[in-house]
Amino acid sequence: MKIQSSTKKGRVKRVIARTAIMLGICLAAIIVFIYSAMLVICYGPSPRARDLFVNTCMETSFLKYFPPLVLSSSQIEVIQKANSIVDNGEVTVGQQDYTNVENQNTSQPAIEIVDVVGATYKGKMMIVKDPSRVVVGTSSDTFSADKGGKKLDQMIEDEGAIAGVNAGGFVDDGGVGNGGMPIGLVIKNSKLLNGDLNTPVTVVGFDQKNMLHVGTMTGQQALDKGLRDAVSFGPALVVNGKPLEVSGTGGGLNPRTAIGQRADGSVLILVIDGRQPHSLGATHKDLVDVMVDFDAVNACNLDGGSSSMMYYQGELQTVCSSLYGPRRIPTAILVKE
Amino acid sequence: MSQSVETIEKEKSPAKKQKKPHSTFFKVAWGVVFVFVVMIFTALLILWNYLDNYERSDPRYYLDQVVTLLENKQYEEAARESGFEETTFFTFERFEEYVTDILGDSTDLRVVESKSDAENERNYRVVGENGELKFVLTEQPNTLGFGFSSYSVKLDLGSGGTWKIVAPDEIAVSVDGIELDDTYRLDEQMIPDPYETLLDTSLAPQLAVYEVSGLYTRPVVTAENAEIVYDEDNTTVRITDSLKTPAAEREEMIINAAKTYAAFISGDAQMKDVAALLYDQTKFYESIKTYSSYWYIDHDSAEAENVKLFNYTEYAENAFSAEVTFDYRVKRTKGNINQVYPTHYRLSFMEVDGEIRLINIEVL
Repeated sequence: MKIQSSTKKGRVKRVIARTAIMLGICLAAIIVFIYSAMLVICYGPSPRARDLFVNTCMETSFLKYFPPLVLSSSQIEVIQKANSIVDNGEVTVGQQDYTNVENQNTSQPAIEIVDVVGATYKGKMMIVKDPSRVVVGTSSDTFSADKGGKKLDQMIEDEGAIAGVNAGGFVDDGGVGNGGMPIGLVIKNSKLLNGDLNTPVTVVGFDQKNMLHVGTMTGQQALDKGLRDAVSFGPALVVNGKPLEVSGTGGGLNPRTAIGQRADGSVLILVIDGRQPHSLGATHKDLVDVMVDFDAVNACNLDGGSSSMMYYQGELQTVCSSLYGPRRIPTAILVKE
Repeated sequence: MSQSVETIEKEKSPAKKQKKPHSTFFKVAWGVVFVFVVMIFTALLILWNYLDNYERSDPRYYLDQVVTLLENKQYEEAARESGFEETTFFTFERFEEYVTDILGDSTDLRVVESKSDAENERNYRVVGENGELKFVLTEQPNTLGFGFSSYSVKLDLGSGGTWKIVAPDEIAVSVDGIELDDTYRLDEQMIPDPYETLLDTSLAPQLAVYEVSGLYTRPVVTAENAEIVYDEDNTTVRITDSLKTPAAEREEMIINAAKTYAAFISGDAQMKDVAALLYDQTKFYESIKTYSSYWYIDHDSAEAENVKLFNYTEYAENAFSAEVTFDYRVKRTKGNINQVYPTHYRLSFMEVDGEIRLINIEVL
């Protein structure tokens, strides 16, 4: 009886061991394949694929650990530098008065959402005729890492808006941040809610006459310009009617959010889906091209990745790339009723 | 001792039999490893091939090759790679000169993409020390594996195209240093504008019309002692023999004709005075012969002051025109009238029946 029992135990152990070995082989095969594929991408026949891979990974909180497995930090730095938007330091100039835009061009709808399609991406462009309706929404007037941010739909509801997209960047260690602490400037109702007065950052925001300003400036300069609502992110895409120069791929393929303004004052709010089978994502160069196609005179990239999303009338218009659904964020661009 | 060894071996032998399933498993396991290795190797080969095609589907892949050649001053190869075709009027030497003028000694050229209206074209600017070269890359659909497309590179050398050159018959014309012979001459001929007034235009001096093609840039036209005017809108170059100065006798003839015409208008000369100068088989003569002067300022005298003759142009040996300006002063003692009329005419003449006659007067 005892002998039978030990034989059974031995068989069970053997089955477990063999299963473990087979799983180990499969796992090893997957790891070897992924690592070899990364080697082929980074050292194979396509520098463009390498650049896209490195930039795509380095722009995300989770995947940024992959390129260092096959490339040195200096190589990664060179690749990132060679594939970016060249910031020429230009800042929006001029003082256009867009306080009475809603009464002009009656044929243009108040809000229009247009499909945007490129070789590697799909997205939505929201065109808001009256720029005075576009404001910055925040999760709170006093940001705190403990408090966390708000989901976009909640922020839209709380602020009595009809539409919104994510806006500025935030502290997001490991891609699992709670969206409580924004990075850089946040100005709402002409009050500086976050950021300091002396550090220059890329800012995008509206002044009192609803003109969109884009460029690198300090908090003090932003307030001096009379910005009523602004956030920090970048890079700038179009400044004073001129698209910024793009080197290489102009970044990786990722979900993107961007904002721009036409010469007639209407506001362009763009969200591109990414990291999904139907849309891999867009580079910064793609954003420049789209904004130029839509006649933007000033435009800036906003926070992208898993934060990118667009709500309109309570419906999510884009597909959020986060596996856990829309994320909590500290700031948003909202369109008031 | 030997017995005990045998016993042990006998005892071991069933155990050996029991290990057989292990061996089969490891054989299978090694088989799986082998299959995975083959699969990974195949997948990597496919990935490599895919990436190779992906790389070659980027317009910059092709443009960068040309840019590298330009940076290395390998102009002949760069010309070949950028679709440059040598023509009579734009030789490789001219290409090299054109490119080096723009790029200077720059060995680190900057490439900037510019907006293209055509869906299958991408436009780039290569910025050098003294300007920029424009390149157009045209997609060649599905020419690569995995459905990717390659691109052809073409250096956009500017307007180029075909130009017409209109010149007096006897003037030798050169384009980009090559003298135009009859092979470049069109059957059509042109009449200089002032001679279109002739009722029988076959009498008019004829201008030769040349056509040159295979140009990449605006042609450099040369003609000795001639004025050369480029008409960019009509891609035409007009050459006139206007750098000559008229002989004194001819100058006097032109000025006298101008003064006579002014005097006729002010009522100080008769139609017969003008008609004596005019060739009567012209539209101009038809229009002036019944002209009645209604000059309303009664005056004692009229004279031309500060007479200047310029833009003397010869269309043929005895067909010429010139512009004349002067201040036409009209005086009357009574009432102290002293009026000056700035006057500007272009007068055109040609030889008819062995005599130089006035063909046309334009008031400018």
